[in-house]
Amino acid sequence: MLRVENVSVQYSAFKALHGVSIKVEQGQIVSIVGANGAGKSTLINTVSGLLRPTEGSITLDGVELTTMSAHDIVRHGVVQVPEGRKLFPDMTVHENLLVGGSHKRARAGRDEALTQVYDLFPKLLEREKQSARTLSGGEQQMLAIGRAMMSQPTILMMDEPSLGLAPIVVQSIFSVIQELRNRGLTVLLVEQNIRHSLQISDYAYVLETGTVALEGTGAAVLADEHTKAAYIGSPTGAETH
Amino acid sequence: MTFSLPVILQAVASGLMIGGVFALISIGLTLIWGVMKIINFAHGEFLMIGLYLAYFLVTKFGIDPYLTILITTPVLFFVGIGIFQVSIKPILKHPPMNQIMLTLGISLILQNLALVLFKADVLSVRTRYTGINYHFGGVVVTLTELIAFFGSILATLALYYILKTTDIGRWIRAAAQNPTAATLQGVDVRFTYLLAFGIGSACLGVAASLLLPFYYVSPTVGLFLGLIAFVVVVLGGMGNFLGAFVGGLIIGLTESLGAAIMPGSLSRVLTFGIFILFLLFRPQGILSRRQA
Repeated sequence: MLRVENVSVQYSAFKALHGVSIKVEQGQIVSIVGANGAGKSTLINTVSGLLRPTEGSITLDGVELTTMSAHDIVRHGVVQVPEGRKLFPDMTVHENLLVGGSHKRARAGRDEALTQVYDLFPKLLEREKQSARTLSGGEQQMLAIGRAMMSQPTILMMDEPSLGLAPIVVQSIFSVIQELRNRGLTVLLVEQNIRHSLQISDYAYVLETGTVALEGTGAAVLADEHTKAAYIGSPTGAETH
Repeated sequence: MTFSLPVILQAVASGLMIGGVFALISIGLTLIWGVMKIINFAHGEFLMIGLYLAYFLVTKFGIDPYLTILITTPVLFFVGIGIFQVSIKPILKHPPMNQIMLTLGISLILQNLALVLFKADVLSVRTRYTGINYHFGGVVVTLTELIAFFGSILATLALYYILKTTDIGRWIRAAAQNPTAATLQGVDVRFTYLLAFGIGSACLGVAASLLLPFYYVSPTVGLFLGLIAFVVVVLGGMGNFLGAFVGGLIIGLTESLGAAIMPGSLSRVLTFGIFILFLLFRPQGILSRRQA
């Protein structure tokens, strides 16, 4: 489905990604994990078209996304829930959702999509007329996910959806991600909450200084000695971020 | 100096009427700033184009001054779009100083072009609406001012409705609040900039047709009205739609009261005094919300 092949990205003198290749198959949750600065967000933003690779290619079901403009990539069904939510703070919850569903392909099914989002996040329906800036962190994350759902994605990319949220909210965000997958959505997940994201992943990639250091099923990566030592701590120890 | 009550009341009435038009002009400017963070110093000159256009439509073709709105509005929309495509778009990501120099340059070119084409004469029209006055107690209001006031309010409400309830309006607001996030919703941000610049300029087409029957046209008419628009936009808070509306009314009142109670050559002191006080003590504008 989504193919990232041998992609390199450079910020002026700094090479953020070196020849990264990943595959995401239909209906999977695929995780990209790694430390801060490993290139996880760079990878997602490159798929979204916000950054341009210096080499390599990105395709969705054979359609070339590498040189497509960022807004066209969204219209093709590759949609991102950005790190830090990036809501429209002075617009209401309802308006935020409408913007998400306002490109041509999404507009036809907008009412059903809205019903689905409110069904998944009843809190958002309660707060429908409030401006996004008045929501709690967890509600803002739900709105960001809901807004992305409105554009009826074929693949949803989430950049650190659990960042800065209380543990109980993190729990519910992760169950939402699984629920979305159960509804047939494909999810590419970038997380620093490594243990948790690997547990729900069908497949995972570990990024280190801009290259894929390890890949495998979520369980295999979780069981890997190197991953444990570098990111998760002692096998029975507390979770780290 | 006169402080008699009838004079003050008259000044308040006239000030509110012209203030409505100031509001419409300023909303165009604040919309453009709010969306793409560019101060269009040629805003007043766009209005001048509208005024000349309306003037010639009325005098050469005998069109009713208020019907010219149907022509001036779309023409100004496309003037805005044309100037955006040719000159603004290439410098969207450049330093603010370059953008200021560019729009300032456009304003000088347009002013001097008008001087070459139309000479420095101050022109005005007499229409069948001229000379019709209404008396409210001791206050006299001309029909043309009344129409300008209510026309401006209507145009403002229409624009507000578009921004609030249509997809295009939501795209424009979304792009203003977070361009990257808007892009990630599939919004073509450059296109919304183009639209916002066109709509902001189209406001001036409406304003020009409403102003012409009781105002004047000259190559430098935009200098004063453009300056007023900047004062209003700062007063209302840069990019704040509602602020620009309230600010327009306030500056209309200030201008008119200043002219009534201050000796002639000092009449502008009030307006620019307020401007300076706001810059010093309340740079975020009259409505304290952050930039919308």
